[in-house]
Amino acid sequence: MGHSPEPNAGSGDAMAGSPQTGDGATGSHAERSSAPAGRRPTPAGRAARLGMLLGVALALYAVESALPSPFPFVRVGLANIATIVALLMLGLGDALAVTVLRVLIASLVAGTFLGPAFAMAMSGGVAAALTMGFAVRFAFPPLGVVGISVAGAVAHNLAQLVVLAGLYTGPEPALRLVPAALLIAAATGAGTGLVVLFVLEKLGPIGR
Amino acid sequence: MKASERERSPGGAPSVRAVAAGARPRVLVTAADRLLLYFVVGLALVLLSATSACPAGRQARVVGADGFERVLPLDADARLEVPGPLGTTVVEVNGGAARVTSSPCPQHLCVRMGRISSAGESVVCVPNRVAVIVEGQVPSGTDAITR
Repeated sequence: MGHSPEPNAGSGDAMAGSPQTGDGATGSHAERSSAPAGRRPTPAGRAARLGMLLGVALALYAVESALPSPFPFVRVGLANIATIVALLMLGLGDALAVTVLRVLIASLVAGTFLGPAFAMAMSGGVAAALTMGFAVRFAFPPLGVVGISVAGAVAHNLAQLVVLAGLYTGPEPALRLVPAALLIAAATGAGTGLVVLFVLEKLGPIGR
Repeated sequence: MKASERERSPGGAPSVRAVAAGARPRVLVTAADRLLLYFVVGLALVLLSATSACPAGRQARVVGADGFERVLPLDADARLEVPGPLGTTVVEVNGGAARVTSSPCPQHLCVRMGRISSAGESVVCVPNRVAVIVEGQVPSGTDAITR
């Protein structure tokens, strides 16, 4: 990390009206955790970011639907990448908006709106967004992006099992799936977390 | 990614990734990340060993034609000849599993079904009217796949 103010750092942010002040990495944890409030983009900038993230989320959902999977119920959770980026860029409220709208639109296109798949996707998505939101707020400095992602994946899978138990199987068979859900969440959460690190790196100034 | 690469990156600005990793930009996966990961995996393994995936059945009920019915405990090796309209179907229990070892039926599907040991599993020979059903704590509820 450079210790000098970057000469071109502000260019990407000029439209968002948030001039750079020196090296961002020197900011305290607390300041960074509330970063969305600290350098809040203009309404237009926020709308642009929201739209972009929603589009990315839907594109990732489409890609994921096309991916072959050994089991239909094991998914990588690519769309969660957009949720995490939204969380770090814009905050919990906007991350929830991206998640809910993604599930809504995807279910309308796929024809599963208000079906069981919709209920599971929505509950998983919202649970993941809320969990990651709280993790970012209260545990972000010890945890990194990968940890946030794993926490979200765990919450996603467990929430889906709760809905599964409520809709279909009752608690006992759902409980038996918990170990598998945790293992899958650890793997997919870590994987998508690493992707998020890469995405944030590539986003550079746009991400702030 | 190495520090040199980061400094050469065209974006140049302090990356969100580095910022997101806290005050130590070189650390991409923090100690707490690893701890959480280990915790989740460990919890999964503990739960996995606590609840065996599918409960093994305790006994095999063998049902044949004309009200023939026997129960074979799976923990004791046994051999049972079951009379049927086509002849004799042989059911064997060994090593905690039941199987049909020979059958007079034309296609021998029941023989090819192999060994069964989990509660709820069954082998049926329709032509010779023989069914072998493993009994025990059957996982309750429906099984469904949704997309």
